[in-house]
Amino acid sequence: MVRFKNRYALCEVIVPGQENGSINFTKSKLYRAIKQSIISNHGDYGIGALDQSLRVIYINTGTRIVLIRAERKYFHMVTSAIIFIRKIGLHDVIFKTLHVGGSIRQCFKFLIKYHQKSFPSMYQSCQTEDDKIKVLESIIDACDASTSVKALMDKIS
Amino acid sequence: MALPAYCDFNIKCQTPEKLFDLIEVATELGYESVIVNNNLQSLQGSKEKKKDQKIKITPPSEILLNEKSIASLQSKGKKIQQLSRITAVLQDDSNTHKLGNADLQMYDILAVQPTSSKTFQLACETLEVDIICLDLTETIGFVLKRQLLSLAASRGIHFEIQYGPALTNSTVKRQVISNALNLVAATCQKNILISSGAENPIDLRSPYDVINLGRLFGLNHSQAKDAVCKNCRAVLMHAKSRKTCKSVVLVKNISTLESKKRWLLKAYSDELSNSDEDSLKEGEEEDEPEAKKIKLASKDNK
Repeated sequence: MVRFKNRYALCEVIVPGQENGSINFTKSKLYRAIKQSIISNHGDYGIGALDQSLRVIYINTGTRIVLIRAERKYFHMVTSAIIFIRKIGLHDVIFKTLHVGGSIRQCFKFLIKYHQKSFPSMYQSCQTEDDKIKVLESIIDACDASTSVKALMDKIS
Repeated sequence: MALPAYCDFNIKCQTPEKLFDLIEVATELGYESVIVNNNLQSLQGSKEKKKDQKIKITPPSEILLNEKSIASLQSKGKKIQQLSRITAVLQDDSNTHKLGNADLQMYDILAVQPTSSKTFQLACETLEVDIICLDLTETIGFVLKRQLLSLAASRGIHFEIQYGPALTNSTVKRQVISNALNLVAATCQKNILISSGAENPIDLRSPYDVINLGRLFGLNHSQAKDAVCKNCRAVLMHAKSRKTCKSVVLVKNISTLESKKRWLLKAYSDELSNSDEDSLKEGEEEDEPEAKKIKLASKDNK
């Protein structure tokens, strides 16, 4: 028996001209956009190969992070198709691939590190003292990475 | 000059406000160097007015970022380098001597866009340029000969693929992919640059996505990575060496330093005052002006 292998792509959705804004579309809307892009770029074969495994696992509208799963063998079709997505709903969007991993766990490990890097800039942009204390507290929390991965995994399941 | 990790070679020159947005999005996507392109439709002067036969070439303009975006860049710990480039469309093989004009040489990078097989041959064989870019959105009207392309590659010239137009609609996308595959096959996957050619921020993609896009153009992963990373570095080096000759270190007199690079002097004098104290303690004497010159030069040439 051979395990069925997947790949997971962690992407950030950038909306040009609107920094730190949130996005308001659902998993199904994103799924349909990706599917449409695969059809237009890789045709019937592409969608046939990926139809079983393609899924949007996670979407965070606040931080604009999405996680997409597909079969490993045909994953290059997904990564090349999301480049051509320009519009979802009313948003003009740019997909920025942050990481491609073999499991959800690895992707979230990367995501935590990625967010930790943004702490210094967050601290600088804080207006009030209370905000600064909050950021400092979350930096201390972040040092214990193992618990935070667990918390994120719990949230999804 | 610190060399960039990722570089976008073609951002269309526009009004300052638009460029501003473009550069801001480019930094957000992870580019460390952007090159603002100026298109020159023809090298030929206008025939009607004999007195005004000189072509109007606007000197390279620098877009200064405002304080707010500089602050946001600093907080993220990012740097961005801005260079200028001019692309001249070659309609016939006359007038190519004008490429040596002082106005054109003021630009950091010189590119040509040949439109016929004659001009393409000329560009590959003799012209002193850094980049040859073909219009991939329409059918190339001539055969790309392997010998010519390998000759150009041996002279250090790179070929450009613009992906920006491919994102807009499907007929253009087909044309760009077919032409790019043709070009990549003819160059044996070497000396390829992938750049955006973006007019709007939405046409930009992050370097990692561009590498994925490179796989659609018939490059493998490492070759596609070279197309946004290593080859860009080679082009910048080629552009520098075009103005001088083959060299390792450039020595410049301080008095000839450009006004925008004055900060180097100031930074160095601060460093010098610190090291002076050290050297006084040790009681050593250094040949200061010489050292100053060479250190500055090495900073400039890195």
